[in-house]
Amino acid sequence: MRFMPGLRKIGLSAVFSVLLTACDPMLSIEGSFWPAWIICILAGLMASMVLMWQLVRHRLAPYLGPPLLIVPSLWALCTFAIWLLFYST
Amino acid sequence: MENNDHSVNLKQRIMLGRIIGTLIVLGAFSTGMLVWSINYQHPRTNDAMVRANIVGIAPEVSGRIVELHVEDNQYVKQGDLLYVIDPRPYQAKLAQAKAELLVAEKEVDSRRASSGSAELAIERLEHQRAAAEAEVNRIEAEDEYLHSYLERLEPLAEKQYVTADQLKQARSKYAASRAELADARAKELSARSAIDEAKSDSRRAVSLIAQVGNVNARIEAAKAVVAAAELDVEYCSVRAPFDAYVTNLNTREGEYAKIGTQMFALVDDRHWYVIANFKETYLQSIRPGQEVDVFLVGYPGKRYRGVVTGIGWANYPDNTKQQGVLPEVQRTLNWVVLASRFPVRIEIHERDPEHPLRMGMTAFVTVLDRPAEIPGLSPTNEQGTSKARIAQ
Repeated sequence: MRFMPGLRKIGLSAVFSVLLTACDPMLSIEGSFWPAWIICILAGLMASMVLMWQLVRHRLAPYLGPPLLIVPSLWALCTFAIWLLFYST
Repeated sequence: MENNDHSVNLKQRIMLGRIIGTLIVLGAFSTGMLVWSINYQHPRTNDAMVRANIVGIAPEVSGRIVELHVEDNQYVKQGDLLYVIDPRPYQAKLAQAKAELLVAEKEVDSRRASSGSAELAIERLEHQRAAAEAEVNRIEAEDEYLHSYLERLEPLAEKQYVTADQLKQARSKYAASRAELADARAKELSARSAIDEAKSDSRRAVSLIAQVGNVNARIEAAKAVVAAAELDVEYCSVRAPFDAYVTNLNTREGEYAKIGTQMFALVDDRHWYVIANFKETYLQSIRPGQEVDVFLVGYPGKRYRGVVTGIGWANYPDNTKQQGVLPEVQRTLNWVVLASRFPVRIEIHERDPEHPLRMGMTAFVTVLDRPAEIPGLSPTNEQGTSKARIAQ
């Protein structure tokens, strides 16, 4: 149950990402079109920040491994996972 | 006891942390590979635009526009009247051409008649020549008799069996006969040359008729002028060659339309397609006949189904420059080389009145790894024609 607020936040960010783009591969902001990978990178950044915050909150962050490896990997994982979930098909 | 619990909890946390850390790294690597693989198998690009065939509508004849039946951006069906150029000058030319055709027909009849009379003249002259020849033959026979008579009289005259007057008379008759023969021969020659002249006149008359087999060149030329004039009158009414949208129409009645000058354009509504510029590294994953998802940024969330119908065979090679007759080779140090892009043609078969296609719309396309199921699609072939033809 302690993980539930974090999961809710992750779910919200994912839902936000979907609503933001309606699964369209491009995001239109005032006539400029942004590709999916930028959306995924930004959403992945937010998701990785939330996840890392949760890991810090649960005092797991110091034991994950070298931060220089773990933090970019988490960001990449979130980015790729969002792309696979919403844009791969 | 608390310390013991704390150390156990710490050990669990360390173990959990390491597992999560390992999973994060492995997960990043594996999802990255999966993303790369999917991108390679389903090439996608946002360097794509909706296209349609554009045909500039230019008049075939010059003149003032007297009727304009379309508005800018209007939809027209094949055969619909677009505009009318003042037909009166061309109708007058048509009437003149028809009159000239009649004149040509009459002229040919007249020349045929004169050719017939020339033939009759030749026949008459042939008769005259035959008469002259007969006269020459008669006089030659008479001349021969007079000559032999004179030869018989001359020895008799030496022996004075005939008088000198008789001999003189015989010589005189013979001389007259010779003169008559010369005159007859001259008449015959005259008749022959008259025949040659008449034949030459006849040939001239025949050539002026200009008949070749069953075709008379003069009449055919006049008919061709009539046909061209009829065509010009027809060209005064300009019709839509296919179902299309009128675009860039910025003129009205009264404008003088010049021959060959485009007045507006028609956007062909029969074929809509997307030209997507794919990097050359993705081309081996793209084949004609594959299904394509097309998204238009103008219609968020709306998906169109398309089919790859061909991949461009040529792209301008940007390392080929020429200065005069020599190649111009730049000294460069390009370590990073960008991939060329090739245009891939994707036909869109779906039509949605709520989301009409417009040429120039920005598109995002994803080539799917499966053949398109579109009726009327002929088998695809990358070799040779390399285009999946769609039934009209």
